[in-house]
Amino acid sequence: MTMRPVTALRVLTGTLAGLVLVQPLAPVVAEVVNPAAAEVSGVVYLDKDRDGTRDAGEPGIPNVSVSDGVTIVQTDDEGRYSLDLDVERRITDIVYLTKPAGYAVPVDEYSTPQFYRILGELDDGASVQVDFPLRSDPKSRRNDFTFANVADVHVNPDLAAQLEQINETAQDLAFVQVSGDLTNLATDEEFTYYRNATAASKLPVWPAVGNHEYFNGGEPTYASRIDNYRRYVGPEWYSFDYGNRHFVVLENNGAAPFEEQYAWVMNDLALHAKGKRIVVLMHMPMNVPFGSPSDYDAYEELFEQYDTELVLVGHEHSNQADNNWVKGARHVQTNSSSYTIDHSPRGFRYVHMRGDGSDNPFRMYGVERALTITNPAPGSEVSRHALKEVQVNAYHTTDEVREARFRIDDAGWVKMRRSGDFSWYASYPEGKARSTGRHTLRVEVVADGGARWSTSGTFTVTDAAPPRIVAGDDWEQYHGDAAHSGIAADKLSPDLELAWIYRTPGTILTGSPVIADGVAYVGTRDENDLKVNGVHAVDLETGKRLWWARTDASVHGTPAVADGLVFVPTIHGSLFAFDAKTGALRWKRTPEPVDPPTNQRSYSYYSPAVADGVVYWPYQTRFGKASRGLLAALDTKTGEPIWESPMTGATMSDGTPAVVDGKVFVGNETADRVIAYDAATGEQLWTATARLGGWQDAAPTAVDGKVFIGSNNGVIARDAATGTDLWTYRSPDPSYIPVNATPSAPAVVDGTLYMGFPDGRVTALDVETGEVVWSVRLPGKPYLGGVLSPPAVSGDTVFVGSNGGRLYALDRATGAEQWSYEIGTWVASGPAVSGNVLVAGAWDGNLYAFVAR
Amino acid sequence: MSTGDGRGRVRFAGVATLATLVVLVAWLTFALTLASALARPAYAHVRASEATSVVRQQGSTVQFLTSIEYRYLAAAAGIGLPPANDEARQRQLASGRDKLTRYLTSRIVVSLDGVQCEGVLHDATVEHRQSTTYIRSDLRYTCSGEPSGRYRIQYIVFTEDEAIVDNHTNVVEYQLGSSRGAFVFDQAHREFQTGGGSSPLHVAAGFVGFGVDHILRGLDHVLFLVVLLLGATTIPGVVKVATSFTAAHSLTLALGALGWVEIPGQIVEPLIALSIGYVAVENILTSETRHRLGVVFAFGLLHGLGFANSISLTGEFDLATLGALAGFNCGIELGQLMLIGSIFPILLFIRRFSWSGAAHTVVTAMAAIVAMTWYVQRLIGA
Repeated sequence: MTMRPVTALRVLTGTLAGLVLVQPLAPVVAEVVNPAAAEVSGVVYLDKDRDGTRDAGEPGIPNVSVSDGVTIVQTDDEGRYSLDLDVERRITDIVYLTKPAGYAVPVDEYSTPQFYRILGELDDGASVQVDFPLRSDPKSRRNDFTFANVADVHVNPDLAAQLEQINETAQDLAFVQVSGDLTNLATDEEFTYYRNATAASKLPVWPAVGNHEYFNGGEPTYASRIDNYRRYVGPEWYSFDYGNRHFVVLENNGAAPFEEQYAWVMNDLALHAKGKRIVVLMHMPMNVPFGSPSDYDAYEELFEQYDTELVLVGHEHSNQADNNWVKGARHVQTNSSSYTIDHSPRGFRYVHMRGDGSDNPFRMYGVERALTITNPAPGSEVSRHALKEVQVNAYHTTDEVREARFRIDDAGWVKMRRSGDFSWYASYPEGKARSTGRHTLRVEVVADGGARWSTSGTFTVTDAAPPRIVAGDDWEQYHGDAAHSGIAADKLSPDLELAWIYRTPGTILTGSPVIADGVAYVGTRDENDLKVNGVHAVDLETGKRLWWARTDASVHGTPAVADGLVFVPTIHGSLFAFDAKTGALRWKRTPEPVDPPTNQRSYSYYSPAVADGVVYWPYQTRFGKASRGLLAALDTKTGEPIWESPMTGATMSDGTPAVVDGKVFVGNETADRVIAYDAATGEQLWTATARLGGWQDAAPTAVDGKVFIGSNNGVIARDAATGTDLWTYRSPDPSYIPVNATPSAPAVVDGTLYMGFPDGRVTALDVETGEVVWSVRLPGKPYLGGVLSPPAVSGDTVFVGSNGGRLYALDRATGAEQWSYEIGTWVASGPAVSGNVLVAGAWDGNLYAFVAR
Repeated sequence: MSTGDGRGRVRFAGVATLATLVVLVAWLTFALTLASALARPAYAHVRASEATSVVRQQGSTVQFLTSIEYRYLAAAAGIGLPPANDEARQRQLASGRDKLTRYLTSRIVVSLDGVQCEGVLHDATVEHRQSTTYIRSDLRYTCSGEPSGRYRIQYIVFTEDEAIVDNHTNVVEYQLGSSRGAFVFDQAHREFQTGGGSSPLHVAAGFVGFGVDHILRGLDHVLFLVVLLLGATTIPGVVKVATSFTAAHSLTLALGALGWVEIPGQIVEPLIALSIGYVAVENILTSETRHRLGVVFAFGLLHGLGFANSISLTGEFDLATLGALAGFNCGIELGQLMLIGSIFPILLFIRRFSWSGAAHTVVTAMAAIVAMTWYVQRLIGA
């Protein structure tokens, strides 16, 4: 049979056409038929003698999950496993296990848990044997345990010392966990630095990937960018069990292949989560614009299918708690061990896991056996009629103070009660202790683990009648008025005595008290949860609570009072308007919602300003009209917008507005980039260029045709009409606060500006030239120093707080110290002055009122 | 005594010199340490980066001149860690040019009336502004169509999943067609479009030239037509074949250009070459076959996909896009008509001579050889 030529042509053409498909399809087919894989197999065994090799009599451990980051296999009855590892997925190949409860993995010399093994760059078809030793660890079967949570350590010179502090605790810690940003640029040098620092920890240190763990010196592929991380500290996502908790460590910074990780987590949870409570450890927050990409919201639904209890994140260098992401779980952000953005003291958390719940108290670094008598103050003269209480502040970084007691002279010891993280108090005793003359107060405190320390002070009881508190002009918003001038209308002498202390269980950081119609208002933060955040209204004369209201998140900024309402900002980006007299909620503005399943992200770390029936409110969201930051002018009575005008940033684009002469000035993004708006229309008048290269949280002061704002241990003066730079001033000393945060605002009066700097200086400058009139450096030391407090000027005195733990009165002409009062912890909040009273807030969560003698 | 005094003075002088030296060295060390500590770049946690651009259009060329921060663009394009000095930076830009081109042209996309312009990186240089180092990239886009049409710029430099920059803005000052102004690209604003725009007919007219140009320059399409003509004997035959080819390629051109059908050039291109070879050999083996129309239609589908690979629409299905597509297709048909109109009369004329049969076979065989050479080249090169 012969073939016709045309048929032959067709057959030939068909064959050649088929050939075309061979080349493009060949690799695909080859990959399906025979993927580029290596076979990894071995045994997970009980390493009884802890020598890292399997000896006779060391049994295999069944049902342990072993993975390469994609496939999860479980060991058989003899502890054996085998999996095919895709050698082309990453550069350095890794195999790892999920540590079961009741077992421990060995750590290397850097305290990195060896739950993984680096296999190098495996070839296609390679076959390797990896045995994993586990050690018996009955302790890790307990459902009650504590671990330390640390975030954003970066390449921080204090890291080793910080880990040593944590290790010094008397508590029996299970481990330390770092929520990402171990380095800055993920270079070999930086990972080496990190590991040498973690070597200082006796406890295992479990890492997580932060966005600063991407190396950018090679190919822009994920495999290349994550390779240094893998080589130094292990796989990007993994899990481990401790007690009845299943810890899932995720990479949510954006560059990781999303589906790959998601599928792995789904499998991991299906295998391990049943009957356990889930703790998620990852770097980026899920609730703020400066956080994880919104794709990762997909995990919300996944985690909601299980008993998820806690999500621990870092990244924003701030303390924050929320419960909006995974229902039933706290979403807790921990500030940075390197430098903070909300200006909180650097610290970490102890996460106490109990069978049925957990808490996560924040601990600031660098405080050792601190104890300050705050009432009656050592060396003071106190009227016997004013002797109501004894109060001390006590703190010890590594262990919480558990007990405090005092005695006066030779009388018996009196137990004290605790308020917040610092304060202990009790009623002042009756009897001999009230007799006029000198008395000695001795205080003793005991921390967890039994550390005990004490202090004493003498004071004099007099017969004189205590001064009567008389309220004066209002100090109704941040830094006293809408221009934030920091100038009190009333003249207060620097000869002050304590009138009352109002204790709150929260904290007061850079948010300041305000005073209106004889009532003091202050917002509080909750560093750990959503319980003690809110606003307190306190009777100025008595120091007694009139009302308090909880808010949807911490109140970081300063409230403002006008038209019978108190406007309270929260870091969630909400503005609450409460009735000033009763605390009843009148209106509330919350960030614009977005369509599910995507979540809106929002924040505001600043304060509203009020002027002429309008409240000016800055906030930022990830989606919608506030995506570049929004300044909203709202009717004070209704909260209805009069105008809304976008700001100019994209990250942390909010700012405290100052209102004067029909203009609104806002420090945006880095704070030193000031934007001016027409107060009537919201039209942007000018935008100044950022000059000082600093950080957020500063508020402008707009006085006498100039706008002043602090940043980066300096201050810049601009022309209010044009935005032209007039002069800049840098404070000369090294900052006590890493990265030079400068949230203080200048007080400006009669051609002079009074400003606090993070190097601890309070400086008077000529407003025309920026030349120094006087400058004093208030005492401080690492972790406990710097002036973040905006000074208040009254009469001839400058009142200001210091992180060194004191409140000061300085001579306005010379800077000489005229009076100071030791509070014993950060006074980063600005004092408020009205009538013959000064009210100051402190990090211990308390308001301190002082009255002129 | 005097000697002793003298020696004492000498010794004293020696000690003083030594002390001065020690102090000097200590000071120098201190100063250097301090200087190096101060010189350490301040580490910004929020990686905010501002870029600026100037966009100018002249005729069919759009110049996109953009200055993007060196360290971030280098990271995103994968050309390596930024070196310390300009000379090394310039070398890095030269060696990483292909990567830079790929990154920038795929992430800054200019289109005119819904049709993507072809972008090249004309030049990349180091630039300093204030204390920041930038890469100044001169991108040139060649746009087909009526220059007065509607321009669109998509800007997807530094996305969230690259996790290189947290906050990127690019302030663009532009002149495109008759539009002038400024626009700011950021994470929330990735696209910009000039206003106005022409009627679909106007748009279509703008793309006719592009289509004509494309078919006349596309040697494979020309050769395919020539081979088809060699096989045709009558005018109605030519009309039938041409109609079949046109219907088929118009269909796949539309589907391909709109992105509804996607077959890689790696597969389409060798098949196009093969189609020429097949028709040529078939011409030699038989005279006008019964299946010719079906074969031409099938091959027409392939050629349409080939045309589609050279025109990329922005994916938005509107009248302007349709106009552009129609214009491009019309151009191809026009080019095709021009080819047929100029070649077929010559063929008809030649067929009067006795040697025409032999010439026919020789030309057809040559076409087949050329086609098969292309086939092999495209298969291997693909």
